[in-house]
Amino acid sequence: MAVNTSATKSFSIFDPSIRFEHREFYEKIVSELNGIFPVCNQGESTAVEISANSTEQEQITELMKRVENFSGELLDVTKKLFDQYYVAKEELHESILHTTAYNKINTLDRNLLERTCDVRWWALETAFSNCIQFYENTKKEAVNILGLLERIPLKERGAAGDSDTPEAIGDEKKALQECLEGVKKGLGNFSILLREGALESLISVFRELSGQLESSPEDAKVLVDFLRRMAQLASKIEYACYRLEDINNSYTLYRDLVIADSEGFIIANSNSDRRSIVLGMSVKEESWFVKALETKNGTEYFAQDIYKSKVEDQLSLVYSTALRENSDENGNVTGAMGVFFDFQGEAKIILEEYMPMDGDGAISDGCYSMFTNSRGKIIASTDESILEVGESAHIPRKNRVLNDGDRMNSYLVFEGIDSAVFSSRTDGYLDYRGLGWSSHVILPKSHIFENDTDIDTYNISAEELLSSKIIPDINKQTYHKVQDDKESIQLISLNGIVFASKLGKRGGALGPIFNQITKSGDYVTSRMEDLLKEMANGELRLNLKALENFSKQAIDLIDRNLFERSADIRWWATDEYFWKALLDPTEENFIRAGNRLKVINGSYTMYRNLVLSDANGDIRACSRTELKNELSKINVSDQAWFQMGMRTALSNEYAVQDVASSNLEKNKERSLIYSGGVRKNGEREGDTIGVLGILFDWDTEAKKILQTCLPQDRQGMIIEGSAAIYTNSQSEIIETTDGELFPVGMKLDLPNQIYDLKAGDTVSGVLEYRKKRYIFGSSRTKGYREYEGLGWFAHVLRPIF
Amino acid sequence: MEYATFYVGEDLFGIPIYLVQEIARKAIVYPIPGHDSRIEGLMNLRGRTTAVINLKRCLFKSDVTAAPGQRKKMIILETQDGLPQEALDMGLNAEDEPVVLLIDDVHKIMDGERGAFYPPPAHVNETYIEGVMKSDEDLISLLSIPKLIKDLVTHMEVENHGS
Repeated sequence: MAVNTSATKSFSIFDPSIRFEHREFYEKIVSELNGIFPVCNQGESTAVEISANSTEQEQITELMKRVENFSGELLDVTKKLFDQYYVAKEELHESILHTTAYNKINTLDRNLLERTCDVRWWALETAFSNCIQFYENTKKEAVNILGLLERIPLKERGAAGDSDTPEAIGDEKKALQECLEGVKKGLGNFSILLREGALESLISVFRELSGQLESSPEDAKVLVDFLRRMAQLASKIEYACYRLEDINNSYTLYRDLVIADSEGFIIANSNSDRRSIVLGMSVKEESWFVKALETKNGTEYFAQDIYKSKVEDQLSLVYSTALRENSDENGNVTGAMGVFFDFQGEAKIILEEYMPMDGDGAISDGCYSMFTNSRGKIIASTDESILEVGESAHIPRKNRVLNDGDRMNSYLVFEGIDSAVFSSRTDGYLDYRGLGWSSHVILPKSHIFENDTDIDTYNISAEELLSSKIIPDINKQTYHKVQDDKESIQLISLNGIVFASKLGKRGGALGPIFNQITKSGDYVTSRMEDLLKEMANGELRLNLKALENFSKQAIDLIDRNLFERSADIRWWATDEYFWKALLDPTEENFIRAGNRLKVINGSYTMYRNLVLSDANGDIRACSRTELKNELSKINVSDQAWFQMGMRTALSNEYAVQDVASSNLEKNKERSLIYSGGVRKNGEREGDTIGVLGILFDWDTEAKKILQTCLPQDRQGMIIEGSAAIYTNSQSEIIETTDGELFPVGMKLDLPNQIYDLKAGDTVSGVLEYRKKRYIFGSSRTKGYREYEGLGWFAHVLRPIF
Repeated sequence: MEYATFYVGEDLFGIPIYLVQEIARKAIVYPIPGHDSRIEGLMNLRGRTTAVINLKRCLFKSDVTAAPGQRKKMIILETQDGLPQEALDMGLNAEDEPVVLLIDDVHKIMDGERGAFYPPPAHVNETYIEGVMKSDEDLISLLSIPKLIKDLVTHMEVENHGS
């Protein structure tokens, strides 16, 4: 991954970033050091005054020259020290903020990868292909019916009572004629029947009208059959909407899901609030629809970058694919499915993460975050009044025009404030290549160079820090150089006094000179040590912040992953294969259910097994069909996932059993099982007739995430001895990157400040574990959307020495 | 009189400044195998081979570690020839050959009259301590270099005769 940063920065003392107090501090040091030179001159003059011995004079002059040399060197070191101080701050901030910018786009990409899976999987739902095929066939038949209606006249009707005046009869006939025309119009322009209520209304009118037609018994039968078909169509459309709603209830990341026929008319949608507008709407011009029809098989999809779709009243991000005959992924294309992702809602969550907050819980003034598309236009931002969606981002071109995976930072004046902007362009995630988007984080420059907090609270001295692995070698070298110079000046002064003592009373005149040199040397070097300590504090603080961020990333990524699992289980538990098998528990039905589970597991490889149990807790089907015989002997009625799954009251509820050993996976130390209640006819509420359990491949997935959250050095190498760990609410390690030092199953004794964290909070500090000192960052889960989390923590530790 | 004060472990010791020729950073010392452990080894002092005495091993029986931040130094002792008249007047003596003391760090040069040193408390059984002076919060022990060197030389002679 390329990291594109500006040329190596060097901070002169006159750089505007240098804080006022540091500039003042620098000037004091310079003035003190400059004060040494006249003292040395005075020393040389005194040598001549007090001794006629040329050897003695030379010795004193030599001492003075050495003092002058060291003072000159100290002046250089002072300049370097300020430079290093600010470079170190800038580099660490860059590293953290680049990671922040990258995390934002990467989090979005990870999310969008799941969306591409969603649309391809859902498009294979039989309710949708059935509905479209039935609709197309009915539409064809409507043409015949229309011909029939053209042939069949309305019945002639004479007066049957006093009120049946010729005028009334004439009015009635006219009304019937109008009804007939209406029906003909509907049948002739079939797509208008897709509008909400239109089909039901036509059926009602048509039913009434059919009794008034002068039709032969054969024609009458055709009409009755067609009416029945129309009613079936209404019912299939209603069911398609119902299933789309089911999906949306499970996967709450979407604003709408729609299916359209091959001509681009929307037949069903999930969002009931928008149904009256969306059904029957033509989307044949929209790219998501056109491209979906062009997909070659069920593995292909199309991602429509942010644009204005007729389907929604806000900018849309749409994933689409074709609906295929008989839900066969290689079948003929019959229509398209488009899923409208809640990009704005998701972007808001992601953009606000990791941003500095003020006391009121709002993003601090002068801090912004945004996503831009491949053309550099803003698609979401934390402050739309300043970073307006649809507009070009007013940031340097090099931040706007990045190659995939590039990172960039620049300084600029933003909204009147000296600021820094950190940008990162997507490099996709796994199979998902991304849409060329970038994320940007803008912060006031003062935020980067602000004062560092005192480290006293961390129980680690600055000297310890300066000899630790936390501090980069270049800063350590400066520290040692300052100490060496300090020692040199000290030795020169001491030896000067020793020398003066040998001169007896004559040497008394040299005493004040060496004392002054000692005093100035001590002052300068101790101030420089103070600055180095301040720098060490800053390094520590930023490293702690980085670890906090890593721990937050670790818990967020697992929360988001587990949210997807909670969505999966809710949706799959409504699948007809499962409730049909449980309602009619024949061997054949359970084989079908098993095969269905196998198909699902084939697409969702993050599960180790999917199991279907009946209401008694007996396993009746599983995706790993080779384990069927073994598992069918197991009764799970005493297991938490089963009991909780049975107790779910609604189809959009799920249950999860915390990481624990399970007899369903004898070869695994730990299992993480999600469960959902299965209800008859896939209903949304009512008694459960069995439970679907899904066994998440916990250790593989969790370890994969933890590995990405280990701290790295400035060369991008993982820091030796560092570890990332998940613990559950009982402080027990449930996954780790270091199985030897932090084994799974062990209770981890950590400072109370960690276990006292509130949901979503982070903390960092210094701790000792097995006689080794670490800096750590810890975060507690806050869940994600409907997934509330299980009270877990993520910890990232880095050894100090 | 002025005293050069220095650390051995965390304890402060002092010697008259006249007995100091130079204070220097720790230089390379070549160990002498199988010899008295109080002799750290030999070093090249401006072309002359000189014995380096490890004061810590002379003064403390058990291991004493240096305090954090200390940087080891050497005190090159003055020779008898180099002693100024003031030192001789005070009855100070030095060796004919230069000797080097290895210390944990130097403290400072401080003023103090000889009378300011009190005899060490009775329970301090320390052969080389001539007296103790309080300076601010510090207690400084006045080290007797002649006694120290005499003891070392005697010990070496015994060893040599023994072998």
